[in-house]
Amino acid sequence: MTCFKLYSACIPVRGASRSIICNLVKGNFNYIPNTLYDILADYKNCNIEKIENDFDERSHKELHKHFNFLVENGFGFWCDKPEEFIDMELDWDRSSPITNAIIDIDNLSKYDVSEVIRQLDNFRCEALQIRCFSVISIEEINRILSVTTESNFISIELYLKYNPIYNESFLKDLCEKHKRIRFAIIHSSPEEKVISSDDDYYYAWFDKTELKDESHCGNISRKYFSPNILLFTESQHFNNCLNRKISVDKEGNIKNCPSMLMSYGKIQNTSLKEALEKKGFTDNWIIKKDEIEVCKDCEFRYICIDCRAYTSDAKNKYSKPAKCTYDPYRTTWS
Amino acid sequence: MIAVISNESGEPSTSDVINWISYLGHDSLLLYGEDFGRHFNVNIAFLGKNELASFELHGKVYTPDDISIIWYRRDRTYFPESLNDISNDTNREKVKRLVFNEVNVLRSHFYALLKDKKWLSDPKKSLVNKLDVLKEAASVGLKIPETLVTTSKSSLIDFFQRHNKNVIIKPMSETLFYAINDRQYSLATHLLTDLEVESMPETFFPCLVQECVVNSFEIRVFYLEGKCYSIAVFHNQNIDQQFDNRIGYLDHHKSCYQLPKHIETSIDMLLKNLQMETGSLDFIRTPEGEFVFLEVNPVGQFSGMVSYPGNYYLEKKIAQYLIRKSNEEKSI
Ligand code: SF4
Repeated sequence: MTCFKLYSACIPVRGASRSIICNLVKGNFNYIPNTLYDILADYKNCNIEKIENDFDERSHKELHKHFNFLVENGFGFWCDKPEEFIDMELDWDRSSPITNAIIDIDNLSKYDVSEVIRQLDNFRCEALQIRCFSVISIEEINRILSVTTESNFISIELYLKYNPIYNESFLKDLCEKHKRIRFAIIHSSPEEKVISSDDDYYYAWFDKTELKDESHCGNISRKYFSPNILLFTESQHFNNCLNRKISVDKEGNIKNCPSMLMSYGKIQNTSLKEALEKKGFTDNWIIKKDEIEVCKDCEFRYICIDCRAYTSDAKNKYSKPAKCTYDPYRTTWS
Repeated sequence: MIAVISNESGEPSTSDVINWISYLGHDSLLLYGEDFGRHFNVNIAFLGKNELASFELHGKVYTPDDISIIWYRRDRTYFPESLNDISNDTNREKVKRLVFNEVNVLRSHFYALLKDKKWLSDPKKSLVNKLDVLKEAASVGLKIPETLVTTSKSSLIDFFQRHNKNVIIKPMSETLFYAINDRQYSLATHLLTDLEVESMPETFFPCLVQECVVNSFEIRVFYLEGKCYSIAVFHNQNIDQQFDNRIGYLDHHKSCYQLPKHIETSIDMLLKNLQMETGSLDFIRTPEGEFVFLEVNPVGQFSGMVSYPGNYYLEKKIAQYLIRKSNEEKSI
């Protein structure tokens, strides 16, 4: 077996100064030098002899080291007929017109949250974030979540402001009762701790950071990278944060994202469907990483969730996310 | 309208396809196999010439005319919980049989009502005869593992020796799942040992044995309307895992795969001969580069194994197929 081949869901991405290789099925990535990226790109389906012939004999050892690394880490394999193994198409589509949504609530919010959830469910929305910036009662939480019992949501992320009533047994009961909760975060907490069952049946953590409003969002960090097929393919064609997203901010404004300025109506007198159909609502959905300054040179661009609400230059909608401290030219986080 | 017949649980592709149908702007009617035992009513009376047979599901009345095409996945029978109240084992089994037969009459009557419609997968053909299929596969030019069904120890030993003791045994029908002391087992494919062959009596119940084909990797194929979507599956070099395909592999890799033209042509012929418009097929690719056909499942699972890892969007493709066929039926 003389030809090296990457598994079709193992895709390298070239950055300005280094590259990564993602395993989009297993959900991990490793760093590789750009020279290796170029070899993988230029010598697709070539056998190792051909590659060796084109390189100085002194670098052969290095070459083999690289290929061994890729094999040992489950990114590729040796074969005889590399043409049999075709590339994965990078198409992206979903069967829901809205796939993800954010609902913000604080003590001044005056809109019917359950009604918003019902409307979202009509879109067959899959992922929902409910962010409470002030303490809400246990009855209210249960009332809101009860709408999701018979629904299409796959995952619900719940943000609650710390209050002693949200104790461990309450959180456990809540997650058991509302099975679609993926996790709950108790922000503004006096201490940090994680609680979970052994089987991850319920999962919650207490976090000291205080969330007063939507401005906490838009952080870019290694821990949010998600090397998976859906995000990777969506990022090729669309904005991987704003695409097919709809939100209701704490004042009841219907927006693409709560941190953005443009409102498409008040939820009290506009339906989500009407807002979605308004001119401009989907304009930012098509801003992809390949068009964004700096990001377009970054090796993480297809696994890093973008932010268009907080950008480094408010006047330029193609500027880099303001909260990203990564420099892909120097490969440093500051 | 497109009708979908499926089980209530364990069928992840069903709701995906239904969502795609809806996203693409069409209606569908979802009927669970379990519904025949719960929410299903059929009216049979003397019907005037222009009257149509009707059925009622979840309080809504339909006639066969409302349905243009049926996608058939599965139709598990619903057994009422109260069956467990029958303490006598034999009686309980008898009543269970009765329930099954009752539901079956209703179900097949319903299918007969729709017999002139277009079906994607025919319920009558959802359980294929493995032996028929192997013979058919060989006749369209696909390589198959040498296979023997025998009741005799001497011919088994012969076969065993001829294949260098690399012989597997598997059920001719469906796999059986069973529990002993709360542990789950399945009647999976098993590699015969010397000892097992030796300890067989002179004659025995018919067994299906097959040469164990050495594999470089396996190929899972989803076939729809003449097109093949394939995934190569590489297993860790752990021999045990090869024979354990339902209990779950520890580790394997998948990669998009393109079968050679001549194999795809044979697959197309095979499915046409078996009158299947869709199906999931398993192949082994040997180190020598040969493709050995193992089996075809007309209603196999394809989402986690082929569709998602290959980014093939098969659920969307099925929805598009159903919509296209449904429109064609309507325009006739
Ligand atoms: S530069 Fe862009 S793609 Fe790279 S980490 Fe920052 S935000 Fe993500």
